[in-house]
Parts: sequence; C-alpha cells; structure tokens
Amino acid sequence: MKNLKLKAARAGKDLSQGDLAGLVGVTRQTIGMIEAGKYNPTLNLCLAICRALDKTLDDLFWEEEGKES
Amino acid sequence: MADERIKQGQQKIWSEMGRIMYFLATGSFLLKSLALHKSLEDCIIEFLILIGVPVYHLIRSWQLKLSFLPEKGARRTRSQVRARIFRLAVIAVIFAVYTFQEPQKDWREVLVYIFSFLAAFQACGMLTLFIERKRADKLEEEYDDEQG
Repeated sequence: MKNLKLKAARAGKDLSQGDLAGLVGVTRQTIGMIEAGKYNPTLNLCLAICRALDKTLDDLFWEEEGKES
Repeated sequence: MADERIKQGQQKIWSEMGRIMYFLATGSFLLKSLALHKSLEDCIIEFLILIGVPVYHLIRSWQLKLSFLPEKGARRTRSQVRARIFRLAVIAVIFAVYTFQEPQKDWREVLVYIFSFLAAFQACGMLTLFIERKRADKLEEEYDDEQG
C-alpha cells in the first residue's frame, strides 16, 4: 500500500526524494519504493525518516483503521 | 552509501547463489560417483562442500544464537513427515544403486549396509535434535524477561 503520508510530509518540508534519501543515508530509489509501498523499511530507517521530517512513527507509518492490507 | 535495501538484496542474492552452488555440488557428486564411478579423490571438492556447508551452518547458528527447532509441543506437519520419508528413501535408493552396480556383492550384505547407514543417519539426527533442544531451552531462559 502506498505511503501517501510520507509523501505529503516530505512535500511539506519541500524536500525531494533525493534530499530525504541523503538525510537518512539511503538511495533515492529506496525512498521511492517506500512511498510506493514496494519496500518495508526497518524500524531504524523508519525512525531516521521520522527524525528528518519532524514527525512521529504514527504520523508516517501507522495504517489507518479499515485500510489495513 | 550503506542502503539497507541494497544490503538486504545483496545478501539475498548471495544466499540464493550459495544454495544453488550447494545443490550443484550435490548433483555433481552424485553424477561423478554413481554414473562416472569416480573415486572419492576425484570428488574431493564436492565432498568438502557437502560436509563443510552443514558444519558452517551449525557453527554460525550457534554464534548468532539461532535455533531452527519448532516450538515445544508443536507437532510435525504432514508435509514435514513426508519430506523426511522422501529424504530417507532417496538416500536408500542412491545407496542401493551404488552397491548393486557390483553384482558380485551379496544382496543381504548390501541390505545390511543400507540399514546400518539409515540407522546411523537417524541416530545422528536424533542426537542433534536433542542437543539443539537443550540449546534452545537455554537460549529461551537467557532472554526470558518474565523471570526478571
């Protein structure tokens, strides 16, 4: 399932996928795949992304009720 | 850049390659010994791989504190039992083919040889299971939070 919350949070900070990737230490492709729902990041990477975007895990990675796959 | 996804992908690829190499070595060993009647010296590389891989697996699983045993009380599934019977049957067939290729041998002698091998194989398996169960229990106790 696509991670639109991550995409929105990244856009809110005016960051490109490459910018965010550089901040958290991964490739741009990895960020793209996380946003597309094609890759499940480890907890460490999730936390790094949250710190980079000043968000919590719930804000970015918690699935809303009724939309769980 | 240490991208976790790329590292995971690389590890997965190496793991698959290792598995393929192991099966290729097994196939090569069987082909050389059964069909081409090569001696053990000619199959030494395959033999070392066949022996070395489970030993390496055992050592690394101990180092990583991994236990591959099913949970206590969990019954074996039908497919696990079938897989075990299939493996034993394959081993028995291979040895039968190998030893019956020499017709001068007494079939009783061959049968005793096959059953001795199967018994030894089963005994080693049960001993390994027993040791591994003890280790699994020890690991569970070590990381048990409820004992405070």
